[in-house]
Amino acid sequence: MRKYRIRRILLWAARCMIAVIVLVTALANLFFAAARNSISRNIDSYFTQHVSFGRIFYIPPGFLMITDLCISQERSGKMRPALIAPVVRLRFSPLQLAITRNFAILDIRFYEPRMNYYKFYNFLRENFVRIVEFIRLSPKQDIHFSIRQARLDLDQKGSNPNYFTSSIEVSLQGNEISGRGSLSKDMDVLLLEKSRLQQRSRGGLALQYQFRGILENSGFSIETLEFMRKNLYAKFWGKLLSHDMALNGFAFIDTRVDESALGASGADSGNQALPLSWQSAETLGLPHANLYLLDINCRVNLVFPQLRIDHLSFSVNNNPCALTGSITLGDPIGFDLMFSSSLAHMLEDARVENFKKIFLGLKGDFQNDLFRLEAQLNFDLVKKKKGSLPLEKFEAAFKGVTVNCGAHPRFAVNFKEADFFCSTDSNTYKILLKDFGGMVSLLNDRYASLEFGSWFADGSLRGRASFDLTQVSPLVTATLRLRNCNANALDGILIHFSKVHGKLFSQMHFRNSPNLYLRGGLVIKDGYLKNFEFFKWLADFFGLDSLKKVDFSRAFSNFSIDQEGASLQHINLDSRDLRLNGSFGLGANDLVSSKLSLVFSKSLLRESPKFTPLLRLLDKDMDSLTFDFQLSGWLHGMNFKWLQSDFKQRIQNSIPNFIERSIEKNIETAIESIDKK
Amino acid sequence: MYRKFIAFIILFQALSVPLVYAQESGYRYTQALEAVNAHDENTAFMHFRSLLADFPDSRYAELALFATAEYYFSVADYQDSWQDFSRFVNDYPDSRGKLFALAYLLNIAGKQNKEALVKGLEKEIVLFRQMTFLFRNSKEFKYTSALRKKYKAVYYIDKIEFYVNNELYAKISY
Repeated sequence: MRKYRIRRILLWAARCMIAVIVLVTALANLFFAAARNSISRNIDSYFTQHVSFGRIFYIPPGFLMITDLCISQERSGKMRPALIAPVVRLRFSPLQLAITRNFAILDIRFYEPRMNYYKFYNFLRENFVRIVEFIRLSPKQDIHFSIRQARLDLDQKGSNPNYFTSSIEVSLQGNEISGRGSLSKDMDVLLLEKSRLQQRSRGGLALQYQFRGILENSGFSIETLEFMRKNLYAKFWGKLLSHDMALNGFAFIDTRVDESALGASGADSGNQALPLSWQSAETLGLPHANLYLLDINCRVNLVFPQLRIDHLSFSVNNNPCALTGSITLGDPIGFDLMFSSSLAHMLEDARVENFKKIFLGLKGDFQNDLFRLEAQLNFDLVKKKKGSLPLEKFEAAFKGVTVNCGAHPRFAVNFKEADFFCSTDSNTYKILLKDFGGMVSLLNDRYASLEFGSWFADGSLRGRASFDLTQVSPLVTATLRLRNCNANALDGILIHFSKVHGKLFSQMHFRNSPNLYLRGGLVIKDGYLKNFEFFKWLADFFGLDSLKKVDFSRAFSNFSIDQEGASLQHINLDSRDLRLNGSFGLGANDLVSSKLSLVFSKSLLRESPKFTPLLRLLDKDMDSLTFDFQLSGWLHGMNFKWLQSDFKQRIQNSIPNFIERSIEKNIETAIESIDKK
Repeated sequence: MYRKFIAFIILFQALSVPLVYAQESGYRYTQALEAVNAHDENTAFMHFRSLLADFPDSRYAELALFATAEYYFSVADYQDSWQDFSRFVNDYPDSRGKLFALAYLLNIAGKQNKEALVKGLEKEIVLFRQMTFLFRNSKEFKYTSALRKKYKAVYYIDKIEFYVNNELYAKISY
């Protein structure tokens, strides 16, 4: 009987409790339904952007669910969403609420929110102070915060198939804060399935991270911050005090890993939930890393929106690098950065081994997918080793550069002016490009191509280049075409062009691996050579003043430049009184190797008193005289050999040997005296 | 009279020192040549070396220095040979033997696989003389050393060949 009574009491109590719960739930949900608009208004008035949500409902014992949370901004009279969270779950302690009347949130979870990076960035930028203030004023209590599979769209129009997928978990317990997460770059692809095109997500290789730190009165002590990917492991530690952050760390990277292969194999890695286990670098094969970023030492001052890098130094494979400057996290994002490095050790065993110092200065801004900047790039190179580039210095200054990333993976690159300067152990070279327009296409992570056109030497330069990025020093192949250029304006590349006039057309091919070469052909039309060294030498030697200015309708030559030297082949120059054919090569140490054939007209030869006696040896019906000769030795003191010909044979037959020797001696003296001039 | 006699003696002494010096160095050189003629290169080398040590400013020093360098080369003492030929090139830049000393240095650098030195010496030899070939295909330059070795450099338009006693010992093409 007593048992029956107790059972009835318990049953009655349970019914009451259920009724209370149902009642409280109903009341709470009625309250939230009724207060929806006022809650929305209150939240909305707190932020600069419009914040709205679908419903708030209570689920016992301590959950609040918010559906369709949306942060949007007005543009052109339309509300455009920056963040959409289908479901947000808040967990609170009903007991604490009942006893202390304190609504303490213990857990916040966002499920599959979707945000536009740029719009959400605007939201953060405009409300940064409010958010920081909100966090600062929040009661200090243990809390868990997580975002599951957030999607960050990268462009404003929604046409970019690439996006980031991110998950994060953060826990605050006492003063200790810890968290972990992952970030991957994914892509929407269209696949043909059952005769229908279906949109599917292709996951990239995820970057995982975890951190642990201690909250302090004036900041945050970072005990450990680790990043891990299949080809990367990095660890940092430091302190964030007020606006100043000090960070130290190191990183190992394996650049030889084929990321596309990894991405394909880990197709869903981007969509994975938080990493379940944290593997060490060794188990990932990073002992095979080929890029070591060690001794990272960073001092940064952040007074939003200004990020000032007071000091950032690190070593790349034992080569010291430094970065200073500032980044303005505004709209547009501004940057003024200077990077310098010594790469002698890094490239010691590489194909191009003679880099010594690199300086890169970038100043500009970024807005709406568009970089606008000025850039300066300097390379200092050590004395060349065999097989390396024969450069000692390379400098490039770019003005009015714009890079449009809107059509990723194609980038439109334009600049108003670029000044290139380089020097070898014997020469300096200058190139000025204006009104450059090009399109860079990243075919994948390993290959890129560039198509471009530019004003160059009063004419045009067009070309196409491809870059193999799998090496530390990219492998470049390029085809260039010059049209209607002023030959004289090319004197910055080759000083001899200062004596050449006419319209120049050329097509050339460049490759820097396995051996560096530049090959091509050039034609100069309707021009003249004025005081061209070789013809000036001939003019002085033979007393033919007309050769100091040689008019021609067409001059042609093939050329090649490689590690062995530079050469002109199939030289062909047609002038009224002169014809030149042959080849001319210039090797290491300015050593010449050349065979030329010169044809003088009879009328030209009559100008020279030296030729008058020789003309008597010519047949009367011959209207020209051919000299075949060979040049060799040092460029500035070449050996000269008159090659065998009928004319030479005829002269030899007509003079005795001792006269031959006397003529030879006299000419030797004459040549030496001309060269000394 | 007595004073004049003393002055004469002093003057005689002063003038006789270089004469004796020249005579003594000439004597050593003659002794060396006699040893060369007797095909005794070791003794000749000793005389040349002592000549260089005792009479470094002698007019025979140039020939003696080339000969000692030659001797070191012939016994494969390339280090001492290199030193003496280098000294020869520096001390006697206008000597007819300079071209052949450079060729020896090139030969030694080649034996020691000193590529940069080889390149530098090749350049120096090529720049040594500018040539013009109007009616002939080659030109020859000759030199006979104190060790009675006959040197010959044959210049072509794009190469130089070096012979010692008609045997090729160095060649440069360019």
